[in-house]
Amino acid sequence: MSKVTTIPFGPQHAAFLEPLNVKLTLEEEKVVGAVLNQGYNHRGMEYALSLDYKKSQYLAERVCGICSFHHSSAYCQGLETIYGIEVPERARLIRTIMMECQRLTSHLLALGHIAEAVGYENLFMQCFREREHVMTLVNRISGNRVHYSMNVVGGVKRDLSEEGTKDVLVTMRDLRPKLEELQRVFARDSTLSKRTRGVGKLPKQAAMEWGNVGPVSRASGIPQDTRLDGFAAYSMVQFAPVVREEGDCYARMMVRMDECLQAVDIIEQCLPLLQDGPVAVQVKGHPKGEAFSRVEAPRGELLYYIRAKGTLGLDRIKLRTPALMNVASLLVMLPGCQLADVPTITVSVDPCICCTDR
Amino acid sequence: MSEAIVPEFDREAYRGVRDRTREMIDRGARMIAIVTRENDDGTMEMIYVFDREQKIVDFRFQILPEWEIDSVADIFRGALTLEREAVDLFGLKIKGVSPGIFLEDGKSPVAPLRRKRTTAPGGDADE
Repeated sequence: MSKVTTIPFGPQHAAFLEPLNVKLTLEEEKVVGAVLNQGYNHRGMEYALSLDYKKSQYLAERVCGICSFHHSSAYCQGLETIYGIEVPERARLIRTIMMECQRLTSHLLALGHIAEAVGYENLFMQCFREREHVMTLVNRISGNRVHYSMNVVGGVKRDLSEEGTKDVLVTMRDLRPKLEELQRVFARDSTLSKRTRGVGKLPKQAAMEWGNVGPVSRASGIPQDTRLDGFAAYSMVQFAPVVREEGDCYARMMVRMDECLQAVDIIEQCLPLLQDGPVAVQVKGHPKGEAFSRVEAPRGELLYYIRAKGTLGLDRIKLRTPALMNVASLLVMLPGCQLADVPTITVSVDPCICCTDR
Repeated sequence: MSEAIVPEFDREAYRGVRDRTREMIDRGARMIAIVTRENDDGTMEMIYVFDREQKIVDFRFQILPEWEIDSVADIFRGALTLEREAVDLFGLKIKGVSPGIFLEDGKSPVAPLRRKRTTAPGGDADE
């Protein structure tokens, strides 16, 4: 009988961008048990966000640096529901374009991270090279690379100029063939295939039981996508959720890759729909009431619950981030795998600890 | 604080949390979140939030903080993370659910999202 060993994986680990600890139980090189230990980055964001609803439209962006615009969109949507206001169409389209730009930067980061985890440094660099085109694009539009600070309750505070619209169009046109080339590499490369196919399987039933969302659930055959709700301007564009059945690291990787091209499609559909008009409506008074608001962040469904009491402070704000649900399902994916596959499996979930811990 | 401030309707809902969760799951709903909030009188409101056919639906009830709630993690496994978070941040008692997902026993503030809270070493005194 082989000896059972317990080893800590993280919180500081070369494969992790943020602190997460997985206590692994091993028989030789095989993982037979895993325990998650979270909370290294807990900042009490729900408490901080409840202090001043005006400042929180900026603070919400600071919950996460990868899906910052999705956080502020969910927050603003929630307050807009409480105020009972209709956001102008142009603002909804701009939000959709920026959300899809952020999906591109997030997915390309995740794909690069997977490539790095399997030891494919060159592909990691190629992903980041293409990502940089989108990062500089959002910088030209918003003045910021990470926290766009474009959302306000009632719309957006920065319009997309005619020049900016052309800039987005040209960048997407140039990006598409590069993404298609990356897609070919991710789909066909034998090294990637050997390291990801059949590895870290999450069966459909388990994904449903664990409440997985986003690319993790879609890679396990669940066609769940919050964008189908039609928030922002998603009701004005045509798209279908990218779904795969395998449920392994390869499927999660390919769902993200295909969603990069889908993001380009959605942005290209939005641009001709932009008509002249206001980009925000004014709101008056302190909010009072309750709302649920959700958006499809790059990692999946992001839910905000806001309860306002007619004062500057909010009675309660609750964030249910996608990574919180997805990281927990590592407990299904890790047992049975080889120790060498742990970084790939963990990274394939795209574990955002800023979001998970808040 | 008196137990009389929690109406009978909420008491029944509190006792029936497992049945209501199972009913939701059986109808094809997916649990999204468990929201905990504190009322001005010190009672807690629990909101179980689900997605059913792309619509958000919920059921909710009031409890006293010292009451022990039934866990629904064996009905919906993803609920365990949500329940552990409620235990950590509000100091709730949920059957079979241990704290410590985010906070560390003896070092972190105790129930930091409660309004009238006590603090442990390292916690900031508030109110």
